[in-house]
Amino acid sequence: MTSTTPPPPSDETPDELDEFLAGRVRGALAATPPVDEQRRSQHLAAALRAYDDAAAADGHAQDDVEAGAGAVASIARRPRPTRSWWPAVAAAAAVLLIGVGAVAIAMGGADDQHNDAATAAVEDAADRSDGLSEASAAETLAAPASGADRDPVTPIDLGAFDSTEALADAVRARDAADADAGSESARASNAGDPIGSDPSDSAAEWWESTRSTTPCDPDRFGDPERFPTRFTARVAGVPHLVAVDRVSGRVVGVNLLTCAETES
Amino acid sequence: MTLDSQALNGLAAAASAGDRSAMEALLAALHAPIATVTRRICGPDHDDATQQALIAVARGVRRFDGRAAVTTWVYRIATNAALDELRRRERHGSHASLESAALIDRERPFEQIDDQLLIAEALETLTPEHRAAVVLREVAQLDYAEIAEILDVPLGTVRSRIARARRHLANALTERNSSDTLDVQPSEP
Repeated sequence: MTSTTPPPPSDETPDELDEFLAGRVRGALAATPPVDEQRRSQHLAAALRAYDDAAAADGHAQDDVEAGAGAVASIARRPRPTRSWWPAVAAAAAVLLIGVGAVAIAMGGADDQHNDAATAAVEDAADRSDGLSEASAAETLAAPASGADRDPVTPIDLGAFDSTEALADAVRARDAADADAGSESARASNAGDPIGSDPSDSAAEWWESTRSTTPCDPDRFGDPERFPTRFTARVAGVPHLVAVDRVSGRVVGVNLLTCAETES
Repeated sequence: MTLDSQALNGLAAAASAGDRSAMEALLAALHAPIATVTRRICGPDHDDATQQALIAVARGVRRFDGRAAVTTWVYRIATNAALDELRRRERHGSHASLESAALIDRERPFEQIDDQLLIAEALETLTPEHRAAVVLREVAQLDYAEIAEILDVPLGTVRSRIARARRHLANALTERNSSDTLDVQPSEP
């Protein structure tokens, strides 16, 4: 950024603006405040991680092609890392749907619309999540345990999302499922769930690593009365900590790289 | 803000081939221009948009085929990230003010600081589409054809948006007290 008024662009179309005034507009627009170096470093680190992840994904794909007994079979296997845990996701979604259905029946079928929304949100989350592992992806969709059963320190990992909006939708769906799971019928239907609700080892390790490196308060949303459940997720590769605020009823989140907080 | 397109193209080509240091250099070179565009479109709360844009560049560089200039590709990503952020805020009713004071380059001469404040306030009253067009023109210094490509609108629409936005911003400088009542209502060709 220079400290002089920039000249008009070369293909400028003459308009009715006085040249001096046009120069003032241009000069004011061209001025920018200095960049926050810490945030700049965080942005660049996150982008480089995304580059490395993409490179690793490409590398794995190439390995598949080179090592496979049949190239066609290898290519068919490689496109989406999410495919490998799809059977687990499908099983978990089925369990959850049965549970939600049981609740709906118990309530006289009065909440069909909610069921549809919950189902859509679950499927949406499954589509978006590229997860840490099979366990964490399955855990995302597993029937939730009561708040008292959970590890109070390790948030529940929801996997990966393209946007904070998608994450907020998933958190709301998960919160609604939490509420449903409080009923006896839901608990009964979830009793045989082989997946369980304990955080996977990889998710726990990821959280330990993240909480030790984030510049933000890792215990944010730590008031168990106000925020009974905390979740973690990656939004475009960036770690986030989110929770439903029982006071405002809104989904609140914090970007663990920039510490910027959002509410929706 | 003029970027060295040739150097950026070289870095993008190397990064696309897997050269991590080239990617690092490319991101470092692009951070300021991306942040400037997202800041002007989104306001000071542009962190998420900037971050999304940089991540999109990092993820997409391997697919970047070099048919368009790197700058056009990058500004398209930055503009889309900023407009997405504004749409997200609108959907969630979390309209964030541009907070003009936070957009000021205080190293400028005093009389220019006043202009910056007025322009920042006036930018807020433009529609996002008009704001994006004038920012790409005056801040990124792209030509009309590039802006039309980035915004995916006809050239005439770009000219119209930029002319209206400029008039609006100029009015803010000359009619200081009327900026809060001005609102560009586009009637595009």
